[in-house]
Amino acid sequence: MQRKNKQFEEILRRIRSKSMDLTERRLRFGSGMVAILYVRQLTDRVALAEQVIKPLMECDKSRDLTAADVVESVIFADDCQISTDTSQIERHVLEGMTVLLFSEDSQYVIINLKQVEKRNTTEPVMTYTVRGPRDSLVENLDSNLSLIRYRLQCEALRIDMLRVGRRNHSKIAVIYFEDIANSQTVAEIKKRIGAIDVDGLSSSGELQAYLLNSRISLFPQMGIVERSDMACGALLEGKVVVLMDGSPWALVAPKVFSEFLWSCDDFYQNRFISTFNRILRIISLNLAFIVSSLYVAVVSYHSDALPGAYMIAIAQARANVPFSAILEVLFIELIGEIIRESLIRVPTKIGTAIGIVGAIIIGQAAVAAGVFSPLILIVISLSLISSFVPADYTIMDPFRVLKYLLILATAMFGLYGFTLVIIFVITQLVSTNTFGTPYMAPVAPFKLRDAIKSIIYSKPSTPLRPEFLRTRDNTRGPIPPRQGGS
Amino acid sequence: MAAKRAAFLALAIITAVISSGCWDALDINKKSLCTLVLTDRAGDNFVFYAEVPNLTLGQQQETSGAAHYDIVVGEGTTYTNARRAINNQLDKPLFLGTVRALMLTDKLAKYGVEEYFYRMQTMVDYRRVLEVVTTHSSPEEIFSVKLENNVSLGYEIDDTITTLKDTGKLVIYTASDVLNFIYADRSYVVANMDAVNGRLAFNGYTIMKGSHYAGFIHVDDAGGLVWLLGRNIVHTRAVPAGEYTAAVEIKCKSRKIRPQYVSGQVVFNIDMDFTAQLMYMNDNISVDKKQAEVIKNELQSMLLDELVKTVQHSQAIGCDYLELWDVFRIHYPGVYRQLDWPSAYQNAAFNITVTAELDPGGMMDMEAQGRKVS
Amino acid sequence: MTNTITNRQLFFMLLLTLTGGTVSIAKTMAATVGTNAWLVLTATSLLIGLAAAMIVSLNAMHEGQMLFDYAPSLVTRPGAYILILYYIAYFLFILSGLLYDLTRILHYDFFPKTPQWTFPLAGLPVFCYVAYKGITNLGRLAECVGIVFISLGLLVHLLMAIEGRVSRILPLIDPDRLSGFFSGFKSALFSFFGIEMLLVIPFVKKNKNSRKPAKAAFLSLLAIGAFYIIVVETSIMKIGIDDIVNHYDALVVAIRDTSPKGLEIISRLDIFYLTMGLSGLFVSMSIALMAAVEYLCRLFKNLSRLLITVCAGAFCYVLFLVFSGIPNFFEIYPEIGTYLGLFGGILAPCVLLLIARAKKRGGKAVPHGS
Repeated sequence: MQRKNKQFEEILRRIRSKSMDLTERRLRFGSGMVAILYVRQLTDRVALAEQVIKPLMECDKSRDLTAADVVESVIFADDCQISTDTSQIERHVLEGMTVLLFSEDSQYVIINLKQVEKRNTTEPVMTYTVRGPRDSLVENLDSNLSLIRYRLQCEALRIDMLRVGRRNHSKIAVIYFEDIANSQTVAEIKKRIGAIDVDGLSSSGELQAYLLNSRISLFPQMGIVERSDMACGALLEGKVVVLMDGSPWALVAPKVFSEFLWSCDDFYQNRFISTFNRILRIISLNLAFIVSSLYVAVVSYHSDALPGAYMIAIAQARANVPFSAILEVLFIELIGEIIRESLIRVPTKIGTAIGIVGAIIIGQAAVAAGVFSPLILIVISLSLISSFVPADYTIMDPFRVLKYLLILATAMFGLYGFTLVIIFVITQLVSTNTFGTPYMAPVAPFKLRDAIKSIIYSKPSTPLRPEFLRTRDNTRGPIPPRQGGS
Repeated sequence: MAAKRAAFLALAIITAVISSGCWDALDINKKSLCTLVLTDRAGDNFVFYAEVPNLTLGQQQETSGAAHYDIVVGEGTTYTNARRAINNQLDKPLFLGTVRALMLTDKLAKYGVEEYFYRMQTMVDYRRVLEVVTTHSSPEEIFSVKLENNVSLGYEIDDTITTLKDTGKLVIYTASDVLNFIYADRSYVVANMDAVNGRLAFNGYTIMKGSHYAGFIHVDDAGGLVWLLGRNIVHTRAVPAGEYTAAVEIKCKSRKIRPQYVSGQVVFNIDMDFTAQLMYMNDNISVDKKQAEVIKNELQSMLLDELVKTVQHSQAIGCDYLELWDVFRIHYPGVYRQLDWPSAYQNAAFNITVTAELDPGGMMDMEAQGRKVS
Repeated sequence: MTNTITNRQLFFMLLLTLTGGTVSIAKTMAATVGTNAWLVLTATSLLIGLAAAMIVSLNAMHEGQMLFDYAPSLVTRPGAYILILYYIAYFLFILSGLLYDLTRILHYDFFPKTPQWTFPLAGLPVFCYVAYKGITNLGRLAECVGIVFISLGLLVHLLMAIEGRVSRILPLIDPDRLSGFFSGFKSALFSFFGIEMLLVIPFVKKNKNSRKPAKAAFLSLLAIGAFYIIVVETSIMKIGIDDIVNHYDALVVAIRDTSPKGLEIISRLDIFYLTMGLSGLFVSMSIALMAAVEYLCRLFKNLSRLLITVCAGAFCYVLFLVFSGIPNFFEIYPEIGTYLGLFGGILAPCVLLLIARAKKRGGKAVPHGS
């Protein structure tokens, strides 16, 4: 039998030969056939039956159907497209689309009846907030886009869809405000995403690694957000948000060092509290990084840095400790890291018990046995707790590693070695840039207004966006008039 | 490839060298922390007394963090020998960064203290900020005094000095100041603490001329000295007022010393302005304006007397421990350089004026006292 | 690699470069001019300020270029090469001298047992890394470190002033010691040299309304002079002229003598100064190395910047070892440095500026007969 679409059977044979576990349903119309191809696990079969098969069954079977006929006057499904590129049929089906092939038409219809197993929107796990919204992003890209779109109903919002991965063709959405975001930043991000040539990516973390300036970058150059309000806030600042299908974490760029110390609650709380909290986070970051090394420096090298009474107290506390200060610090830091890692993976039900056991065994017993001094436990606990204070935990990761370099340098050369490593770290920070923005802005290069606003922030009194973002529109809104006066 | 090998070799060498180092690393508990140094001259020998806490004994006794202190004595014909004698007794190297006070006996002061202070400068851990005191008591007497709040004598001395200084009762110099005086070859005073009735007490000032002992002023006679040298001094005096006695708290409001050089003679014009507050009378009497005036006049004359006595004493012994040389130097630097200051000072003339304002009673109505109301 | 810096970054780079040698300036000034130190330092900062303004004007006349780029047009190519080689040698000498100074201070004041040759061995990799990063990043580093340096420095000196005695810096003008003015002036000059690094930084006009760069450079030097005056005067206030002349590391001694009890646990200030001062010194050394590396990179275009930086650092280390073997090098170094700096910081830029101005005028003049 001669069909108008000569490739019809060939396509079907080709698809069957690949054993992709596709479902094929044929319907007869006039002199020809319509083949419905879909993957059971990815398709809303109820909608398929109601919106596609039923109307097809109910229409006039005496005539041949074409793709245009079906789309324009038969099926009820809302999201339909017509295509002629037969090489993409498998890809469409594997993406969860339903494809209608026509024996009497070379065109085919792609219908979006995708239904996948996905998590409901839940409360954020890592970025808890007191006053802010509690909906966090999920693995499904469409859900994430809906969370953003219902907050930002602006025609200037752009969502550029890209695909990455030779095998998994992950969808990546690059979102930005066209009239705010720096166009060079947007272009650079899209260029880097486009240059990724890999079999597949499974999370935004892997994507982030490909978007860095260099493979050996120490510090994170993109932020990660778990919550949709934070993503929207970033967009309104003129940043670019990258969402990846299958990952509940969005990437935000550019992100400078000081912004890693901000928390979402800073925007919802009284400015004085938020200023206090920001200063606290800066102090905590410094403490987490340097307190262990300072302990080594003071105890081993510069004992006269402290007044006499404190020195005697420290000496007395360490009188029976067999280890030198450096070994003590390294042991305890290592134990602290082991506890930290174990608590991430330990089941919740026994997590508390592990924490208590760890604290009692390592803390109390070790001190009682004279293995460690009480002061080192206080120091390391302070360091550990301080490392959890910054809202975006990714900024602490490089410092957790650099801390050991700092401890070793201090152990060798006291404050001389300490200062050398500090200079090295600061150099690394100032020489990093995040998509063209200096990483240490607004401190270096210094901009007084932005530096003050990065600590003392409140939306009504900060009508301008930071200069370092180089946005196209630097005003957040009209500049408020001065208070008071007639 | 060769560059990579060279880089690797360089890195390996640097790492090996640096990681085998830590030459100066020594934990604080592996040092003998010294809290007091008492230096004496016994015959032809120098004697060091170092107070060192016994950390483990303190822990065993669980005396709420307090350490037990040992006294280590080292004697030698030179300072280096004396120090060696101390080092030979200690199981850990001596650390002088915790010294709270430096005490010098009068015997050493009479011998000369400059070598000790020159020695101090070369020691990296020895701080020049510690306060210097002298003593007439023997070291044995000093170390047998009763210590109540402190276990360490060094702490006791430092705390006593600090309390007196903070309450405006004392003039004290640090080792750095003493060194300055030694280099400038000028006179100065050093607080003196002796063992009195089994306790350590501040009882006056040792006068030093350069690096040698020149005399002693008892605390009761040191009124003029503290007014002229001290900062924020507050003193209480019993001022006779007719047949009664008034207790008055006095503060120095301003101190103006204007030097002149007239016909080859140094002249000092000293204007002292005091404020005083009447605290109480020794009897229940009313203090009216007339009575207050009497007290004020008596006070003025008492203060003037103190100042004159002090100046006369310093001239008599030829020691400008009132640091008037510094005032003269500022105004007449060229002349000062040419003068033999000790003899010029001895021949100097003084014009001292004292004014005092008396606040009769503060919040107390002294006039109402003595009246029977009921 | 970009090489633009802001005016503020330029100020901090100048500040940190110049203040690398503050440790001994108090002794030098006290020994030569006594309490007239502030006068000498003011005069010196005025002169060096003018020199800095000259250098910046020279760069401004050749926008976007550094000395290596425009020198051939002023003093012919061979002359330019001699000049460049001079500056390379000068910066490497200064860096080695700074290493020597740093090592002495660390050895005698803080780490008596550590062998002196280990300090530069540990430090040079960091200085090379910083120098390798280029002018822009160095400017940002100077900005970060400079802000802390200035704040902590002023705080420490304020505390020294409070604890010190005002009478020790009086009389402010001592007529008898004014005869030592020129000797003091010559001694102070060395502490102000470092402005030559301005020749390495190309001038880029941000916009038409940019503040006059020469004025900014001049005022920066005056501010640095004021800082030096604060350092010297507070050191004298703390330990007195008679004592200060005995210490090469007078500033360290003065800070060690400052211990305000009210600050409790942080009353011993020399540790803060050590950290802050070392940071400033490291940046200063990195700037010197960077200046040499910039010239060397222009000279040896085919070699990688990393290789040049490493070689320059290694050369400085060898030079340091040589200097360590010379007895009393700590006295010779400032002498030699002063004369080298006079030529490199004042004379050469002055001549170049005159030539540049003459050429500019000559280029504008209308030729006869046209």
